[in-house]
Amino acid sequence: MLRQQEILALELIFRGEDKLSRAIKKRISEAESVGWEETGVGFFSTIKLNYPLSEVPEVRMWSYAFDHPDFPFGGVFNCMIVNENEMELEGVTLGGIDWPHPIDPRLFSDIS
Amino acid sequence: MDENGLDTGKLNLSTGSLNIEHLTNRSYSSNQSVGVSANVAVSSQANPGDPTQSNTNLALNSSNYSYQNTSSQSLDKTLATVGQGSIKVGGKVVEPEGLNRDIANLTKDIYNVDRQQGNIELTVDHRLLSEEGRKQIAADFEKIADKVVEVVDTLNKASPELAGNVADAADNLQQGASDSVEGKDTTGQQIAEKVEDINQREAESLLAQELILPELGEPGDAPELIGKSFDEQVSELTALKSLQEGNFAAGEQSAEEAFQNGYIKGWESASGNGGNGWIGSDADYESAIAFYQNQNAQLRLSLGLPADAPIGGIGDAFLWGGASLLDATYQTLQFVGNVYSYPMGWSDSDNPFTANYDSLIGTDKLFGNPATVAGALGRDVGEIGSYIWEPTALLGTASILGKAAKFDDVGNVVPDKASIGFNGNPALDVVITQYNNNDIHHLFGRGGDTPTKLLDKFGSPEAALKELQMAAQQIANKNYQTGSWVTVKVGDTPVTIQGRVIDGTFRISSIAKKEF
Repeated sequence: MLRQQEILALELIFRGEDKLSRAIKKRISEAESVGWEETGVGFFSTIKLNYPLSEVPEVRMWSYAFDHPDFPFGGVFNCMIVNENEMELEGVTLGGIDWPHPIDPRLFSDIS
Repeated sequence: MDENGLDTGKLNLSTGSLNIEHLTNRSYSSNQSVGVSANVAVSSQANPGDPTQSNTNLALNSSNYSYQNTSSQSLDKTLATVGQGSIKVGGKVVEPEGLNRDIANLTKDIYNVDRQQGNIELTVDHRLLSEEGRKQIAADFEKIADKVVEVVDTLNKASPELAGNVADAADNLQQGASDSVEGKDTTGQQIAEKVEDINQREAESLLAQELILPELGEPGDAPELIGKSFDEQVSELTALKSLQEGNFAAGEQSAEEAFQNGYIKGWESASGNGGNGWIGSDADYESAIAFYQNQNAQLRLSLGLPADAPIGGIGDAFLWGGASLLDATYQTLQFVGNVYSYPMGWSDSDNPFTANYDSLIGTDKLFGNPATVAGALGRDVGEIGSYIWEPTALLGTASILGKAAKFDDVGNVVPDKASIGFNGNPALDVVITQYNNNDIHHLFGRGGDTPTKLLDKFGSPEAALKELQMAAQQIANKNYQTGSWVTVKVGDTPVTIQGRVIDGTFRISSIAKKEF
C-alpha cells in the first residue's frame, strides 16, 4: 500500500492518458512502498510494482513541477523508472524550504 | 387476435406452399482498431536490411495483437410469424420448423454487445523460434504467464469468445515453453507452427465478429510528429553529432536510441516493409521525439543560445573561432598592460589577477554573440585554442586565478574557484551557505551512481556541492526552465540536476541518481 503522498505524486506525474501513464496508474493500488525516507526538504521512496510493466520506456525520468500555495518557489515530483518492477520516487521543494506534506491535489498547478 | 391484440389461438391458415424467411436487422457502430504487428529490436547492431542477423538478435522479436475499441454491435431477427391455430399446407396440417408462433415476441436477439473501452495487448515472443531464444524465454516465462492471465481477464469482460481463443493460444505457448524448458524434442518448426496457428485463429476470430481489420500502414497514417519530420530530426542529429563531440554524450546516446526506436518503426510504417503496420505497434513516438528535441534544446541552452537556435554551418564555426582567438589576444594585451601598471599604481582594479577584462564578444560588444550552434561551438573552440596559441598562456592563467571574463553574458566564463563571485552574483561561498543540512542530505545522502562519483572525486558533500554549484551557475542565465533536468559537466563528469534560478543563482534541488 502506498502513502497518500506517493499516490498523489504518481497521479500528478502520470496524469496523462498515454500508454505508460495508464499502465502505472493501473498498478498504483497493488504497488508497495519500500525505502521511504523523509529528507526535510522532500522525500524519497522506492516503489515496487506487483504487476510489472510490460516494457520499460525509453524515457526513464518523469517529472511534474508545480506551484502550490505552501511552496514559495514551487516543487517537483520525480519518478525514475528503474525496471519493470521498480520505480524511484522523489518529492522536493524548489528553493530549499521544509517540505509541507501537501495532500490536497486541487492546490497543485503547473509551475509558472 | 382479440381487441387487445392478443392471440386467440383460432387462426386457420390453408395454403399450397409456405416459405419461411426471417428478416435480419444488424446495427454496428465502432471506434476501434485491431492490430497484428511485429516488432523489431532496436539495438545499435541491428540492421533491418541485413539478412544474416539472427532472429534472436534482430528481426521479428515479437508479434503484437492489440485490440482497442469503443464499440456496439447487435444482430437480431424479425421472425417470420404466424399466430396460434391451424396451418395446412397442401391440405395437410403441419407445424413448420423455424416458424415463430408467438405474436408477442416477433424479434429474437442474436447478440447485442456493448464493449467497454478497451486497450488489450498480447505479445507473442518470437524468441520461441530459436533454440537460444527458447532458453531466454524459459527464464522469463513466468512473467509472460502472469501477463497472459491479466490479458485474458481483461479480455473476458469485453469478449468471452476472443478471451477463449487467447486462453487457448496461451495454453499452446505454455506447452511449447514447458517443452522447451524440460528439454523435450520440440523443434523450432513445431513451435513456429503453433504461433502461426494462433495467428490464423486470431484473424479468423476477429473476422467472424465482423470487426474492421486495419489496412497496413500508409505514410499518411503515421501519427503527426511534434514539430519536425523524421528526416529533419535525423539530419539535425547528424549535424549536431559532428559539432558537439564530447558534449552531452550520455544524453545524446539516450536520445539517439530513443529516436532510433521511433524512427525505425516509423520507417516501417511508411514503407509497409515486412507488413509491420504502425497500428498496434508499441512505438512511443511522442516520448522518443520529445526527449530528442529536449536534448537538442538543452545543447543550445548550454551554449548560451535560444532553445530553437539554428544549427548554422561550418562557416559560422570558423568565423567565431577566429573571433574568439582575436578576443583572447585583446584580453592578453589588457592583462600585460596590468602587469606593467600594477606595481606603479597598486590599485586593485589594476591587479592583473583580479581585474575585470573587457571582451570583444558578448551583448553590446564588438562581435556580439553567435546566433547558431556552429558559431557558439566555434567560439568555444577558439577559446580553448587561445590557451595553446598564446605564447605565454598568460590569459589562461589569469582566467583561473582572477576573474578575467573571456565573454560577457554568454555563459562560458569559468569563474574563480577561490572566492570571486559569479558574474556579479553572490560569491560562491555565500551561495553554498544557503544550503542547509537537509538540502545537502537530499542531494547526496540517498546514494546513487552520480552523487557517489562526486563524493569519491571531491571527498565530501560540501566540496562536491561547491564544484557542482559552479557548473550549475553557468546555466543560470540561459532561459533555464524551472524544474527541468539539465546536464552540466563537473570536470569530466556529466551530472544531471534540477532546480530553480532564484535572484540570479541556480538553486540545485535534486541530482539524478544516475544519468538518464
